[in-house]
Amino acid sequence: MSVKQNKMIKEVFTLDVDTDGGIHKGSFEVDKNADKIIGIAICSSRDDIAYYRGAQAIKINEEEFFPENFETKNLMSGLNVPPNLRFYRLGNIDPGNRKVEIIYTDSGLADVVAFEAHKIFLYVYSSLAVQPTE
Amino acid sequence: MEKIIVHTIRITRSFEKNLFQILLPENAESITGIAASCDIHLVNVTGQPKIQRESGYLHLFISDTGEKMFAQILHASYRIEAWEKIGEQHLVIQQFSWKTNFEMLATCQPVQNMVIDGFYEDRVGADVEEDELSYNVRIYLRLKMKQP
Repeated sequence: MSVKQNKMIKEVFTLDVDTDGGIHKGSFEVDKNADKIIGIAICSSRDDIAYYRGAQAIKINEEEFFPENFETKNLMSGLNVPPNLRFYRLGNIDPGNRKVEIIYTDSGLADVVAFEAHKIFLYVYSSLAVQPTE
Repeated sequence: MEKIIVHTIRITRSFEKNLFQILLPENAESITGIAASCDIHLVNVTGQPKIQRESGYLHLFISDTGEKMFAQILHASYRIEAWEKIGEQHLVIQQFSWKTNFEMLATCQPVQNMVIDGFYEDRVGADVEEDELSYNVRIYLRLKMKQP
């Protein structure tokens, strides 16, 4: 799903996490009109599970931007963050083959919060390619 | 070009002293950011004050000279209840204190040796049953890479 507005494309990719302590992989393609990827954000249908138990690697165009074991909580944001700042800025990176890959790991540690099946939402913000005017 | 690497240490014993080494990529030029965190969470007892509890001491050293480049006292955090009631609204924990823009301590440490030595000493052990102690310490290093 993507929304194009103000020369920015906002896309949401969903990853289902349904096994306790497992590794879940998802691969998505950013919009063909995306010129540069500006930033990403992560939310979940169960924020507490993702916050306490989650870690992920994120690759864009086969390049690893976040390594394995990078905690999900470092990419999540709360209400005290202004809405237009709620994403992690990557700088203007070239989308290349437009492939975004997420490898999400549930730690399996149940001492803080017990596992339930949930969804991870990966938001990708990119700038819209300027169409040449004739 | 920048790259982030994560080194994870698993602590399973009270007062465990853990010596470790972090191997840096060959084309790393300098370390531009350092952060560390641990995933031990305490349950707050209603009515009791939340006391800041140390979970351990972390030290990082430059391998060939032995100079200390980073030290931090890591703290255990209190588990936030999954749901808090405010007025008529139920709000999830996500809505309170988290922030995006994960920030590291900015440094400019040239990489001369591909190895960083580290030392972590657990301090939680005194108050926890030994068989219950199990947590991870994560060290994040942001590296500036040499141009290919």
